[in-house]
Amino acid sequence: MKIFDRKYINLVRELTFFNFKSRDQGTVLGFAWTLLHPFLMLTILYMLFSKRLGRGIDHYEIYLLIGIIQWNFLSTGTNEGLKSILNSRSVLRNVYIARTAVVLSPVLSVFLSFLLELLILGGFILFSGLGFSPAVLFLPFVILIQLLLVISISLVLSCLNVYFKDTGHIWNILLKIGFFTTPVFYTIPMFISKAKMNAYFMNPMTQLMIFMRQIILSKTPPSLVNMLLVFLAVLIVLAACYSIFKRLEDGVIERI
Amino acid sequence: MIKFSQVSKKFTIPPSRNSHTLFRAISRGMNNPSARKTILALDKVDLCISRGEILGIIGPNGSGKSTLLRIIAGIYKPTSGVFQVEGAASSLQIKISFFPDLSIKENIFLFGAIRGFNRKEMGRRFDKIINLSGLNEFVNAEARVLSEGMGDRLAFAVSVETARDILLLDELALAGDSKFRGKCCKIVLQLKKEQKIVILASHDLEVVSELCDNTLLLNKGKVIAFGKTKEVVNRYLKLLET
Repeated sequence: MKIFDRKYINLVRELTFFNFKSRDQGTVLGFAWTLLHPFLMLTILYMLFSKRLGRGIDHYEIYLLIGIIQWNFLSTGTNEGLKSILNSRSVLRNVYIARTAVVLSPVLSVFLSFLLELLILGGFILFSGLGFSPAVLFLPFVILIQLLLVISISLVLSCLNVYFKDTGHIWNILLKIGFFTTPVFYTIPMFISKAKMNAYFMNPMTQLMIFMRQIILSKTPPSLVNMLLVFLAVLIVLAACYSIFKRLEDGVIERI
Repeated sequence: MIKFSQVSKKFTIPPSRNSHTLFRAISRGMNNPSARKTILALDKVDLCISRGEILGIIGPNGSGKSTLLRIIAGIYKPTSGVFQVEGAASSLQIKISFFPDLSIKENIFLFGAIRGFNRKEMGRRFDKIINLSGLNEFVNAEARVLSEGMGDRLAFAVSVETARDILLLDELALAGDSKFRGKCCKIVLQLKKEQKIVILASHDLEVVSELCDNTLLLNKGKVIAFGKTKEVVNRYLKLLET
């Protein structure tokens, strides 16, 4: 089964539906948990930081919500991707199935939640009186870049998680570090050295948050050159991660 | 047609659970050969199966039956040797493990997608699958409520209805009560008439003798005998006595 093949797309769609449906099944609030998490985070972070870090930022609640939603997609998407192969071990051991589809579908099911969260963010924006500008047309491109980034990371993590049992713990520590070194709830500090600033901007999540906030809060399109550079960088990362996945996948199936 | 020429399969087994941690791997070296053990699951297997043939695979536990089926299914790649499988690889299947959180209906459509069928195509097969498995009252129930026997019946029905060229069955697939087993045997013989290849790995020598034209006897990954079922089954019985 090749990617973009009709059968492959059908398989990914069915698996995504299954993952989306079963993620919060059996819990008291069900699907509401998916949406509740970012808004609980918003409430906590807003109460903690709005007076100090949010000072001088217009619509800090929306600034914060954009950061939380984007970070939440990276964190939940990669964690679901990381577990994907081990979660499907009984199927993978007994049925021939395109392995990329097994990783892709839980990520896409989290992506669906991400889109729903963005819709709610849209409601917040309208309610706050901020409104939209034509710059919003650039939003799908930013979303696409982030989706490709999450897929790339998930492809590698899903294999590493089979080889090394502590991959999940290490990745979650890295995510914690990333949460505090990415401008999720604060603005980009202007007081750090140039070298540190360059390293700061090398983080693709920083760039993606800047793009989305510029589109929504500043109502101006992001720099096309910057967007293309980030897009190209993510494409290179995707190609590298896909190639690592293809090299590891046969060994992975034998180990699960 | 399926053709195996000198096919071998080795597995690398890490010595302990601790070697699975990234920290341990880094501290000892990722490719430290002393930390690995290898098991030869299949040893230079030669095999040829033609269209319209039912092949039995027998042998004690750990003889390599499942590994052989997984290579045919495309799940494992052989370590050495050449093999050729003519037929839709995506349609090959050994044993279905259903998703317990999904309903029977959703599981059927999901496994249809895994085997390359869209919802429309599976819709046409749906009633047949339900009737064959005898689970008409459980269509909307979660798969977790199925007993092992019911699961096997459903697995068999899905496998048969979505089989294109080659059907791989493991020993559990023909489980169930004697009535259902009789039904299964009839269907397998019908598939033979349709020029499909059926490969049945089983410990049940009665079923193998009843259905299979030829049989392969494996022991510790080696082919001990391959030929007419009656002769190979007798050889296996002698092997079990020793």
